[in-house]
Amino acid sequence: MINEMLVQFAEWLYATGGSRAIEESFYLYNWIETTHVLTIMVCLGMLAFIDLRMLGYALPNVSASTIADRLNVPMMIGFAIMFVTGLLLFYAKPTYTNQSIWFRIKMVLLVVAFFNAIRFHRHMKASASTWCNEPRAPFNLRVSAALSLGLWAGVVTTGRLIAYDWYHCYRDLPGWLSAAAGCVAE
Amino acid sequence: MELLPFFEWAETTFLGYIGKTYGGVYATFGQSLHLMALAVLGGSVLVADLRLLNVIMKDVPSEIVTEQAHKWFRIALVVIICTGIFMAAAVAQRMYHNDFFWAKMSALLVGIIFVFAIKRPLLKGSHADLNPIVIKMVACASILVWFSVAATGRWIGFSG
Amino acid sequence: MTVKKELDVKEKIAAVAAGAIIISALIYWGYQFVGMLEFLEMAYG
Repeated sequence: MINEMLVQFAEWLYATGGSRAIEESFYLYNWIETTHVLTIMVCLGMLAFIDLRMLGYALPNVSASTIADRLNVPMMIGFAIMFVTGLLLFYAKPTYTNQSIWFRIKMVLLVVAFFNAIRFHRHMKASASTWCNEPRAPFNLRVSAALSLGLWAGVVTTGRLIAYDWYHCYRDLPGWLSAAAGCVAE
Repeated sequence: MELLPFFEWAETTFLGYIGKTYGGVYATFGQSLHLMALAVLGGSVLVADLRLLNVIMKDVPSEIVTEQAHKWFRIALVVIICTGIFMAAAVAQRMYHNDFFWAKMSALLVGIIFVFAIKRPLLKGSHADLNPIVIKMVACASILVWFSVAATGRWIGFSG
Repeated sequence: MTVKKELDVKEKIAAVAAGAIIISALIYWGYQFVGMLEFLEMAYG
């Protein structure tokens, strides 16, 4: 039932003028996608340095809370740009993207990364004053940092794979994969 | 120097064969790893250059920031070049005829020479002894050249 | 901190190289932008 609702929503979006305008224009979709991909350098680049600091692999002699505080703002600016361009990319190709198993996995990974970030933030706030000048963060924060790197690597990979239709609904898919990818009976 | 024979040969190599035949390997070990290395490379360039421009981390000595950023820049550059070669080998002849590929290679060459022959030797010592305008020019040039490498690289996919 | 008036060799080389890169990038992207506008004018009138 959820898949049917999502397909209807995607088809409704597809029929809107804005969606057609973006997908059918010469440059607009390409610019939006280019911005989305290039902003990886800003958002994930800053995040990589924060996580690497927690793991002790970058800027070990600088206070970890300083690194996190200073790099947080450019990271969030990058994330805001990626979020908006991501929404526009979905809006331009809603029916294809909705039924992409890679897109769905990417969304799950993003949600898990979000909760991991909240958990990381809470632990950091509670304990930073006791260890922020140590080269490595305490174990639970290192786990969060490593998980963050892994989850975002997954987000990047699944994001890249959205363009490939190996497991799309018109292929001969096993039942579980067909349901997970949001395929509905025609 | 005629490069077309080299590009034709590249497609016939084992690397080119794997990239052409196994789309999943191409997409994960080629493209996705290239993007992850892009994140670290771009991040290291931005962390260092935005510090040199006094935009971020103003309370951390710029010598420390640029030193550490350069360490990760080198690691990311090796990964990005290896994955780039793997990706290009599979579609080498198309790359040869693509203007944006050559723009990217030119920018990449300029970027590598600029970082290792000019920027790094300049910034190795104390930054307090350096002219602040020169430092800012170097930072701007660095951001521009690596942005150009990334942007022309993405545009390869949209052309030819 | 006083700003030096004289640039040493490394700084001069860096300034020239950085200046060349900045100007080249502005010219290249300027051409790309103009080319794109011409293409859009052809396509959409």
